[in-house]
Amino acid sequence: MRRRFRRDNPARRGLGVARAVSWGPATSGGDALEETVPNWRRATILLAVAVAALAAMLLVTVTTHDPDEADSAFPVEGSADAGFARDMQVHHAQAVEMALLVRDRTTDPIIRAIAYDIATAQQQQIGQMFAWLELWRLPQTSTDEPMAWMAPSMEAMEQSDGEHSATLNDMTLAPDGRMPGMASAEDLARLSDLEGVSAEELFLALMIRHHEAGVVMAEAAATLTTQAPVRKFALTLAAAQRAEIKQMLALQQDRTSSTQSNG
Amino acid sequence: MVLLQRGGDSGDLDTSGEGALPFEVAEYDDLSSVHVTTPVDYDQSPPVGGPHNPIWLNCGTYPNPIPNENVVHSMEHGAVWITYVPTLEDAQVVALEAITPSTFAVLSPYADQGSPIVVSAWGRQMEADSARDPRISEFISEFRLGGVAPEPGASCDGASDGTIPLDGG
Repeated sequence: MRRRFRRDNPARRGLGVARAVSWGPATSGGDALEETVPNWRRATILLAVAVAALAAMLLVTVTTHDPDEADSAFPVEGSADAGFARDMQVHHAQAVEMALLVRDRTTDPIIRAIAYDIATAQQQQIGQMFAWLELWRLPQTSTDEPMAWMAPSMEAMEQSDGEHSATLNDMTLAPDGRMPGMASAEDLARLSDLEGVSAEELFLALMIRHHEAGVVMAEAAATLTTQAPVRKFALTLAAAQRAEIKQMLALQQDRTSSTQSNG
Repeated sequence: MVLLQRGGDSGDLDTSGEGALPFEVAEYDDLSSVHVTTPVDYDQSPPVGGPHNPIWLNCGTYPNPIPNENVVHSMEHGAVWITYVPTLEDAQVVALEAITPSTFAVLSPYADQGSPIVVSAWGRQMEADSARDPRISEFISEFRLGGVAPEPGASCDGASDGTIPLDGG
């Protein structure tokens, strides 16, 4: 990255101070340094001052940078980190929406708790991803197609034993541009019109599919990222969503069996 | 900058998110996050994680024991849980209240534990004899909304006050 040395750059000020200190005695007391200090010692002092000045300059170069510029270690435009941080915000936002929809349409305490959990957890994670992009000095919106950042991960999957082929087919964009696992506008409209158990059932079906794609995205990000916090975030997110899928499958099963037993 | 020098191979990235504490804490990894609406028999006492109730416990100070299954869910969200034996003297309890953060922390009595005070977070735990042990605050600083909690920052309010039955009622 570029490092501009401005007139008020602390590195220069640092050098200036060092020089003032080293030459101070000479200017105030004539050739005091030359008169009172043997040549070898004078050379040593000058060397020490030079080394100190150089060290100060290096230190300043390493520790300061223009606040308008992103750190060179941060992800750049087109990176998987940037793509994940953007796409997962959109993906999460729909999960929040569906969770709040079902919470308003059921009195079941367990479904309401899960909905609260998903809504608050994922909204908080949206905040984290939003903040990364701000920190990285990258826009929240990209001109790239959603999911483009996952291409290297998809290629790796294609080259593997084909075990993931079903997943791969699911990981393409819908004709309306929706990311994998996301509910359609029609799905959301249906959820809005339902109440009670039928709303719960549709919610569970939509959210399980939503989470399944979310896990694949998060695991791809964990593989492709260059950032330790992103990797940790993606791995914990994938694990948490896997656990929620299990729970939602069990709740789905409960509803199926109770419907059957009720005739 | 340091991260890139590790070679860009994300397999090398340190994801522990933990700094070095100058003392040892018990570590339990690979804890399950599944939700269950039945009682859970935990391996640790007090528990540090594992299967838990869908309804978490609201963070705060509780004068009476609280259900494990709810508070484990709160720890999944990044809360630390400070427990003390019911026989702990009042001045010690007051001192614990003073160092318990106002959010993402739970303080409650707990009979079945091996030391007067235990501090727990998801997958991490330490014992203390006195509320004035400085390690307690260091543990809280390290693991509250940190460590290996699966969903740090998810809510620690708006759920159970400890009185909601495990099946949701």
